[in-house]
Amino acid sequence: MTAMVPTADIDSGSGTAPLLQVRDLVTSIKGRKSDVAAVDHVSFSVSRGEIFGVVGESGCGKSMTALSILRLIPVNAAITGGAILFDGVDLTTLNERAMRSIRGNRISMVFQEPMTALDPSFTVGTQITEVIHAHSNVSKAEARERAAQMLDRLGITNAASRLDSYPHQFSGGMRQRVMMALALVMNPQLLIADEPTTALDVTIQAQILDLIAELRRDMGLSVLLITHNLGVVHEIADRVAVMYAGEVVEIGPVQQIFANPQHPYTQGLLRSMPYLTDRQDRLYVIPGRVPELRAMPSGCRFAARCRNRIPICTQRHPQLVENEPRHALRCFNPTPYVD
Amino acid sequence: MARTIVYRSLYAVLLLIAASFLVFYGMRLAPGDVAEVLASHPTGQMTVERIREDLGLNRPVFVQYGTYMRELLSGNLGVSLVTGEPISEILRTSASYTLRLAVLAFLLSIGLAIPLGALAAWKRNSLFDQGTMLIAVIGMGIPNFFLAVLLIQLFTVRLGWLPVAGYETPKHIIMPALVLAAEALAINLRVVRSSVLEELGRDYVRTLKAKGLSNRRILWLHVLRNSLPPVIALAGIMMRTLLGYTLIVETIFRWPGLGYQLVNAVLKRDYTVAQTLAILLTAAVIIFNALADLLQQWADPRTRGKAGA
Amino acid sequence: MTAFDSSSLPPEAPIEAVVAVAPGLTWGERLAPFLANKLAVLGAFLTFFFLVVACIGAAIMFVPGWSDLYIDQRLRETLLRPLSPGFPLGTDQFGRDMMWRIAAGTAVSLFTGLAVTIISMFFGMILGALAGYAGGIVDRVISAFIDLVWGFPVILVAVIFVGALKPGLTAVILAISVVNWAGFARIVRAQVISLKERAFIEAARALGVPSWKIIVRHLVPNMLGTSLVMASYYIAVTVIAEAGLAFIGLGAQPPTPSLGQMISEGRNFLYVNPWVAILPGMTIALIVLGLNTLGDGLRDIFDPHLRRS
Repeated sequence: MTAMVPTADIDSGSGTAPLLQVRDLVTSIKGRKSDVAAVDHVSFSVSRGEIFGVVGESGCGKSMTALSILRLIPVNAAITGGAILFDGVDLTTLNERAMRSIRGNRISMVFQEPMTALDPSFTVGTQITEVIHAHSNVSKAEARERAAQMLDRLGITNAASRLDSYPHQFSGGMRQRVMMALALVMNPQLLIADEPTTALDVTIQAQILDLIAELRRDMGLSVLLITHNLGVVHEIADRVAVMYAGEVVEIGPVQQIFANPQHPYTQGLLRSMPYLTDRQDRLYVIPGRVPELRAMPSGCRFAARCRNRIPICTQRHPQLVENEPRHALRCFNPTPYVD
Repeated sequence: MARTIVYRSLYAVLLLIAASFLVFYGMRLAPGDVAEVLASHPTGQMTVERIREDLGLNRPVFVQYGTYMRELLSGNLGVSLVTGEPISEILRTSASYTLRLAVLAFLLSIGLAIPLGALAAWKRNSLFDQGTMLIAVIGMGIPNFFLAVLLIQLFTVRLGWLPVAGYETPKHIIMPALVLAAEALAINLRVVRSSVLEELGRDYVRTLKAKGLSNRRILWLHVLRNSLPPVIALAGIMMRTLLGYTLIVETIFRWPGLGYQLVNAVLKRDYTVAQTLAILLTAAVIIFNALADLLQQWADPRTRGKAGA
Repeated sequence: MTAFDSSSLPPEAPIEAVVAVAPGLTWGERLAPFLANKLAVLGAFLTFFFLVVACIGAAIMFVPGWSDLYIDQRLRETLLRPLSPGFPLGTDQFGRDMMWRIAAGTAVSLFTGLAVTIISMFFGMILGALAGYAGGIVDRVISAFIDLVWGFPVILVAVIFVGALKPGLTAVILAISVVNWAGFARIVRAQVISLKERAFIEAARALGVPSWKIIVRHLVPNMLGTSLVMASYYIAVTVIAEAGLAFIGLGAQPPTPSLGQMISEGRNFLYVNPWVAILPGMTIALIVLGLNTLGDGLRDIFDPHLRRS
């Protein structure tokens, strides 16, 4: 593991206290010989009503970060450092019972797989109303009414009768709406969406993203959007953190990052995005592979794949440094983006 | 689903006719024996030929089968060749004994296997898990008649707690029920555990946790519900297996159920009793098989939905 | 054993994809997982040990003059406990030497198991292959028969057979075979059906070779592996069934020695010397354990797809 690094806490600059503050979060996976940090001193914050994107390749630690916030990490993993402040309370210190009263109630999560993320044996009505019953004391009829309203709100026609359908009777896009319905039915403050559109086809993807943007506008929802797709971030996020090998390598407002990406890895991601590279014949691919968690280099973790590499990159670990207001990056040798 | 039920039932009826004929024919393979049993009976002065004629044994076997089944279906079961007792009477008392034993054993195997197996899966690799699985291995490895002897050695000979055989007190049912349930319990334990383990790894479990539900609700409602299809599917097969084992277990503990009566009738060459009991037990097996098939389809809402459409 | 050798198959055969025997492995590579599996090695050892015991037992049963070893009664030395001078495993209620009786009983058990398995494999393979290859009405008739007997409680069938014939090994062997062939038939039928489609394609390419020849060429090496695995399980099932039937008095009749019958008789002397019942019971449990673990190990070799992680 690398030396402790002080990391800049870059917030939205709105002035008010952010809803969620992740500070120096370390989540380790128990290994056979030693533990490895899948999330390594990650810091960011999400303001009220903000959509915050986290991008990176699979295995970069972005999903583990999301799961750490709700403390839903696998049994072989543990949060070993840092703090997760939600509305002023450190979630890492809560007991299991207190944590349960937050899950699905004040912080909700939507997962990638709408085909398998719902229980196949219960009607969607039961699956939505049980969230209501878990977190509030209402009658069955009222819970059902609220579930129907939520489905209707999320664009499912005949919502009241659809409550008695099983998940397999819905299409993929509709199922993701059901997932969002049960995530939003308690009117949470924060929605964590882990690759919510990845398993859907393109037109449905756009619908779901529009829906998220609309809910933010109407309900004042904060959204932590986990995705590998920069296009999704570009479309609806306000700010974005780019993660690589367990670390945040660049963080800032979406417009700035897209207009002026500084980190060679972010630049590589942008280059490899299909719709921004129409002029090229072939998709750009970042050479090399993500280093394994067990064999993390002591210098910059991206150095081996970097086109801007200079000698210091393999010798010292770069810090996250703010190089323009609200925009920070972890690089010794940033260069302007050339498409 | 309705269509499936009709087809499966028709098939079961066909199998029933074929099986009952085979049993009937099998039992008649040695008709000389039958007549001799009767002729040697102290109360009768009848000749072998006379008995054959009386029983219709000299008519074609299909005619005999037809006559027999007509009588059987109209409830006229005849009398025991050895004791003269009406077979319907033997049936009534012994069926209630078998039912009591089998239901207790079935409930014991399912009722213990589901909570223990699910808990073992939830606390995977714990001492509890390993202990439960050890019981399962032992239960599957020891033949039931040997288990019976071991239990008798422990509970009757060593501890003197339980009677060795008979049916007079409630205590008498304990050992036969345990022995009858042992293998089914062992198999169910493994099936429940592996099924729950598989379900625990599924994506929807993470969703349920993210919804803020209690572990109790997640395990005992959602995960268990999804783990049940293989267990329910197996339950049909279990009933059939239990039925087969009653022959051995009832005989060991002299529990006067259908199995004990059948084995006894066969040993005493009481062929009217043996034939009727054998046909009825065969019918029960075929019905259980059909039920097992239907249960298996019903247990899975995905296939239920498709079959209903 | 060249039939198992993958080199006897044409290397380019597309059919390789469906074969159970993993192609291109040397015998050393195939045996590696077996030897690494300590339980499988134990199973092989136990099976080998009891085969030797069975051969000794058969010898003392059939060599004139040697049968005194297990038949001779010494009424002044009854129910001796194990490790008594001259009788390492003790004596039974007639003062007969338990060691030789167990050896003879093992012979009856294992050779009954072998006989049943050979008979049911023979008929199961022929009928299963016929059903799978012919299809149509032949398949439906044979499949109906498979459905009828498959999963029928062996004990019930055996009791019916004993009723039709008379108590003894013949009825037991026939009865268990009548049920077990269906198990083999199901597997062979499924294999033939999956091979058939590919074989036709191959036959169309290699003009002039009838498809049944291709099926036979691929089926035989495949089935040899699967059969070995199934045979070890089925011998175990048969050993249990035979002992159970003997236990309730329907199996081998005296003077033929049988482990089940020994347990049954020993039950009456649990207070004096429980070993008379427990030793033959443990023998059965160990035989079954050996065969089952051997079967698991063999399955790992021949059917890598089924290997449990």
